[in-house]
Amino acid sequence: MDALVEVLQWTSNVAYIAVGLWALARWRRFGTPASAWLALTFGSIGLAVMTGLVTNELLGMETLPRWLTGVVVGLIVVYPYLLVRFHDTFEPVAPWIRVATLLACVAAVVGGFVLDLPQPGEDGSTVANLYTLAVVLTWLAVLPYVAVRFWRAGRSQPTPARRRIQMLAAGAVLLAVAILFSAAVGQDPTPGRTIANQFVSISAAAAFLLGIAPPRPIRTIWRQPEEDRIGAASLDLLEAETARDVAGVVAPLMQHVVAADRVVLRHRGRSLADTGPDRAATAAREPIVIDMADGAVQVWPSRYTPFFGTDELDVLQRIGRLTDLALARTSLLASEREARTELEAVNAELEAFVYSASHDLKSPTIAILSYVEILEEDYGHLLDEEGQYFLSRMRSNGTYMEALVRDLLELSRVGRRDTTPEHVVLDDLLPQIAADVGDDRMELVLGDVPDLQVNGLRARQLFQNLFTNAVKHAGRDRVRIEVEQDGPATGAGVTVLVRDDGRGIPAEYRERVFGVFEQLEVDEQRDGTGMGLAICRKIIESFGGSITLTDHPDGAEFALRFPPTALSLDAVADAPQGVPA
Amino acid sequence: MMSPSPSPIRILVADDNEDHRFFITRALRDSTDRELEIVTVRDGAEAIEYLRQQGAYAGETLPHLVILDLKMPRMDGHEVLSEVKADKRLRSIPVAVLSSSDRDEDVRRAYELGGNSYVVKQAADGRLSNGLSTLRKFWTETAVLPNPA
Repeated sequence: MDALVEVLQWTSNVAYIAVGLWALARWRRFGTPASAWLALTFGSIGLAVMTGLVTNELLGMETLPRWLTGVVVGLIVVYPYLLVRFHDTFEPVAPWIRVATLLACVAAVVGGFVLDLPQPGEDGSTVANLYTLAVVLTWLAVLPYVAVRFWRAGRSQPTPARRRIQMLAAGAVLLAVAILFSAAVGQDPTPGRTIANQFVSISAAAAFLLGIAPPRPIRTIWRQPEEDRIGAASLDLLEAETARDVAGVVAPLMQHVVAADRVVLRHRGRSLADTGPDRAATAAREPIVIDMADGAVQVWPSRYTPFFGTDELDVLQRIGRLTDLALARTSLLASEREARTELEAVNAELEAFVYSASHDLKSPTIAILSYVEILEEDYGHLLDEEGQYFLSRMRSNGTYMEALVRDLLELSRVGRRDTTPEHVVLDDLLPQIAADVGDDRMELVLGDVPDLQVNGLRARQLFQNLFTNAVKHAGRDRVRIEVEQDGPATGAGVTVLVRDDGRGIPAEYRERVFGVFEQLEVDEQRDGTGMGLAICRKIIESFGGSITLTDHPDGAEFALRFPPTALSLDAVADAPQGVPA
Repeated sequence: MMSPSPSPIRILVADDNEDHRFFITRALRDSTDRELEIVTVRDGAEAIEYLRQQGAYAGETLPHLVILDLKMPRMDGHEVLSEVKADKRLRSIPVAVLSSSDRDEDVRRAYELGGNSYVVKQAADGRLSNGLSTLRKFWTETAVLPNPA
């Protein structure tokens, strides 16, 4: 039992000396008024403990000389005043409280020197007992006051600062309890009481240590809620599309992390955010400035942050770098968006122009062709063979021009978003198109093909143009066209291959054939306008897909890539019914 | 069964293109056993003036059939259609749209507004003259037209 008391006694002594040294170390490191008052508060307690240890253990003094007792008592009784001053550096304490505490503590220090205080185990005089009572009452008045105010202020702080402030508050109360307890049991120290007292005293020291300088693992645990918030904010930043979105995520986060009174975020000369609960109170204070590539963040942290949130200032820098990255990304997005809008506007204008120009070309073409028809029918007999030949050339040119105008109109129309998607079953559609194009000129070999969710008219036009193209350029009377999907549909969509056994297309023309008015050979019959594949490309691009010519050795092979949005989802479930028996 | 009216069939042709008016008139007159009286106007506003017998057209009689172009200055064919079909006295007159536009939205709108047929002007391979002769045959020989009020 005695050994336990001894061990606890030593632990307690070492703990208070450690708290004092930690407090001094912080003062040396930061040199702020708060750390100075804290160093005084705990340094004096540590010094009192050390004096007791030195005189008792090293010098073997059973009783202390009066002056030394006065010094030790003085170092301890100033504790309430020093604690009030420490608190005062964060939140001003009413002057009368400061003065009253000072007077009470000065009186207590003087009393410690003047009065004949009892040594442990002795009964004190009445005056000495009154003195003890007065000190106890002072502590009972001051310590709960400071502890409650600290505790309350901690509630608006981020978790690590809140925990540290709460630890200090708890330590202050526990120390008061320990000292009162030791004053009470001092008269009648049983081992049980002594052990209980030492426990309270060590708990207070532990609370102080955690409040002043919590070890890293504990700081990490305390900071977890903030880290979670930063993690969630990082994800939000990935989704941010504008600089304002970024500010909307970052400003509240920074405000929270250091319980800032105000956060101002500027980017490219404009203010993206200016938030905080107490913007007026920041007028006279210098903010922390976090520089970024194209702007800066100014943060006015709460008055508790510099002392209790050292790590949090590093966290601020980290959020600053995240913000910088996010803003660079939104800038890119913005310029991309701008370019796209501009391009879309230009395209729309061009399409509108092509549409109205080709529409206006229709009327005169119809007129010319109609006059040619009248000439041929009513006056044809007046012309010799050459004259009739000229008329027939006029007719074929007029017809060609009408086809050109029609295809140009078609091309300008494909990109318009006036088409509604529908369920298109290629299994049914492709044989129909093959029949339309001419069964005597082509043979369709149909493999597995997907069901699409696209505009039916456009899908028909797409395959019709491809089949017509294959027939026209086969170089012989009959062509075999194979259509099949290249592997199963995946999340990336599906590719449909359209292959013919015609002459094929030389590699150097494989991109050119998709241009407007591109024909690879002289077309004497004038039965094509060279716009078929351009229309195909525009159609499939309007579905969100693409078309290319593959490197196929025989004939031509087109790869039509359909995005997942162009695939019919229920078609997957309906597939068995969709396939002809 | 109503018997066809013995008087000539009056057709109002509204088209802003002079050549087109010429072909239409010519194709309608071509080889018909019914006597046709064809009146042409140059835009939608004139068509409405004629149908309402206003201005220069005061005292004119109403047509049995209107052949209407869509793209015209002042008032386009769709506007003429909605005016005609909203007018109690005119709405029984059939309107045959004859336009160079084959846009689905133009076709749909014409029928929505009460158009009675829609033919696209296409010239190659005699399609316009054939189309017009089919149109004429249908409206003057096959269909029964109401007598205008």
